[in-house]
Amino acid sequence: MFRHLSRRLAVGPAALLLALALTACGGGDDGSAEDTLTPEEVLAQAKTTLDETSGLSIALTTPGLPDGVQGIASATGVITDAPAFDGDLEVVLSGTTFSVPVIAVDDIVNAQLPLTTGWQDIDPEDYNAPDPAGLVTGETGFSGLLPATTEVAEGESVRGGNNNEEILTTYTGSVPGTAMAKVIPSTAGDTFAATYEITEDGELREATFVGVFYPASEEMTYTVTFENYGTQKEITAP
Amino acid sequence: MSSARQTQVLLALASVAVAFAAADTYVVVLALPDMMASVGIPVVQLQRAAPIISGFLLGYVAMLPLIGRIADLRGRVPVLLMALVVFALGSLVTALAYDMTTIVVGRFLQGVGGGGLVPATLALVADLYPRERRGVPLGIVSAVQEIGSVVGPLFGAVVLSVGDWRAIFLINLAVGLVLAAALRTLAERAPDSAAPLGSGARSAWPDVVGGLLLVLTLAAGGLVFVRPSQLMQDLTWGQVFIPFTGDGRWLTPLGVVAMATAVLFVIRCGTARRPLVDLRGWGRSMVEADLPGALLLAVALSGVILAFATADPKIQVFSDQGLWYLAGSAVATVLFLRHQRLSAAPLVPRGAIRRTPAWGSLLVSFFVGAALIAALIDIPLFARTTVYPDSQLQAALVLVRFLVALPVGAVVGGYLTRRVPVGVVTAVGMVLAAIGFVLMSRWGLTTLEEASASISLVMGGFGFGLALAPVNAAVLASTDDEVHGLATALVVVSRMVGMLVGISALTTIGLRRYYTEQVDIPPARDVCGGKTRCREFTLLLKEAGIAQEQTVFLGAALCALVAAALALALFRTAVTRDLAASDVLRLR
Repeated sequence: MFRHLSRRLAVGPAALLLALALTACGGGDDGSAEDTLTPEEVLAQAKTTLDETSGLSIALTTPGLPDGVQGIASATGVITDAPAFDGDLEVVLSGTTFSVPVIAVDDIVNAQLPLTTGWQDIDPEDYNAPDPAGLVTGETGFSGLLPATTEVAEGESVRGGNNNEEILTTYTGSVPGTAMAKVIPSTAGDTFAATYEITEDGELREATFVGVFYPASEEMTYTVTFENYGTQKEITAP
Repeated sequence: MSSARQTQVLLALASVAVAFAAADTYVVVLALPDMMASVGIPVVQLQRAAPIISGFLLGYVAMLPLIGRIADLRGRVPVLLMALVVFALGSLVTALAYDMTTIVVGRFLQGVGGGGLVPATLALVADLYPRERRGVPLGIVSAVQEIGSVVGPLFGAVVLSVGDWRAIFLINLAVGLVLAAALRTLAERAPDSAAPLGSGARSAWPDVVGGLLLVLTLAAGGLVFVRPSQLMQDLTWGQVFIPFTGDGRWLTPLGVVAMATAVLFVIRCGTARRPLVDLRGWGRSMVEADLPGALLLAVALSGVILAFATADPKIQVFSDQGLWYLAGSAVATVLFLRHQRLSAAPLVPRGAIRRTPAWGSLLVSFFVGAALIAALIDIPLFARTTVYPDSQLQAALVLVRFLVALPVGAVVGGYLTRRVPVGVVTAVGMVLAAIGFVLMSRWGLTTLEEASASISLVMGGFGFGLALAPVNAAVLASTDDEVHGLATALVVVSRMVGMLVGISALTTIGLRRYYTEQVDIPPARDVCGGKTRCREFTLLLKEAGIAQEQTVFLGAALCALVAAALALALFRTAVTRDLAASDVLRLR
């Protein structure tokens, strides 16, 4: 459709703009080093990168929780290797979504509940939510899912990441429920379909998991993006 | 089809369009929580989402004075067509919106279109019927509009039960375009009826270059909004989404193409011999119809909207930024008033509303509007946050209990207006509404499941209905015949301005009051005995969640009482008992 449009444009000044715009970006050639690694090795490398970074921006989102589920709708913020988290959690309780500023550090999750002005410490498991500080590394982190993924297969290269500037390689596989339960405590499914998008530098940029995350509910999707590797931030309890 | 028959069909079509646009003011009230979620605004921060409603009202109000005059200058049918096209464009932008700004821009355009329909349709009535026979068709247009506002929330609820909120606006888009096409076909077949000025060139060959530029603008712009993942992920074509600088959506190759073709389209329309849109002509008419006045009014009102929308009620009512918006709004208001005074053809003719009941009715309408919007927004919102979290239809039916009482009250009010002083009728209505609101402010988490909730709902709706006719009667009785149309229009504008300010101010001030007076919820560990979640604590959270709505209801009660007091004080000299019932019942 686009090619068709640009041919039509050939008469107008807009064609010049489009042409300029396209050439300015150049065509990225993706003869990457990853070709020599097996998919498993790429995932292992991505885990190392994830584990070793000083901090990053994480965004856990879902297009929607199944009806009637009490759980976590999103978590966005900065996670450091302290481990600590500073950001917002959206929790769905009895049909209402509560957005809660959270600072988690030293195994204590401090939350500012809606329509209150102070902070209080919360046991996230009471809310079917993970401790957000542990979402990336360690026992309860997403990085642990990478080596646990089976039947890994390399897929297409796609464009994505921050500002759509990066060329990412997709890897698909499946994650056993036992591994997922460490990250999302409410997990109820046996296996989860996983899709990873990994940059040329071996950074895991996006991970998508499809499966049953909450007991007695339907399949749903969680997408996690990891950006700004190497972020330095001092997070202290409020 | 005879010519008279055709013009009647034309009027019928225009009325349907008016009903549809009226429905749109309220169509979002049920979708509001979903729309807020889509752009990441938590339900407890309603003040930030208020522009979704007030943006529409702003477009509606700011354009009303302008378009009534343009309809005189350019003919009714072209204005109706243009209004429908702008409405459709606004619906498209809203349907594809990806953040708060785009939603509000879309809603504003919808409002501009919707606002343009009303005066043009009323003018059509004036063209088609001699003065003494206008009562009934005018009444029908008004009634159709009120029906629209009752049907609006229901329509929204029905769509939401099968699709998401974007579907509502896609349907709006389709209906807007279909109505525009039907109107145009009909107008071409009946050239003598309300002949569109300067539309003779329409039958000639259309402007191909302009059309191409328009298609390109829509295609590129649509892609910037939607960002289809297949295209974005494509290694080559995905590059058109990479920003040149920063990380916005518009400073990308695709965004620049969209903007450039849009600019070229505008230039083409301004210079072509037979442009798709006669921009020069519209521009001339707009300037003649007092564009500066309309712009100043729009700036003044949007300043108020922004001031409240940027507030952080946890800290204060107005942020520093908000104070600047307010200052800008004040400057624009002063300039607007000055402009009106110096203008050769001011929006409000000098002396038109000099008598106390005349300007008094505008003041009363303002507070009626402020209170009414609280009911229209917060009743369904309350229903959704308490007993019907998953059923928009049930939540809509709660509002319907309020809305059905409204026309009943209106008829009773119209009857009473001829026997009892209008100030008293208005005051009784607004006091009833205030009592209804006070009762609503005591609603708990389960009240809506009980029959008693209906009492406050019906009482509130009846009270508002009761006050409609006497306010109109007061303004009609105290203005000269030749400005009656304008005066009643001003009452409507005043009510909508009240709604616009009300929805913004009440939510923000309500929340602020909540934060200053409410003692914090105790820590979860204290409530739950060591654990951090238990049923008691969830209940506390939910109760805190509805506290904002409860304070809004209280604020609305206050507005209703102010309206009652003003009506008693200012309507004393209005002599209304010999007005015709049909005139008095003109709601808009």
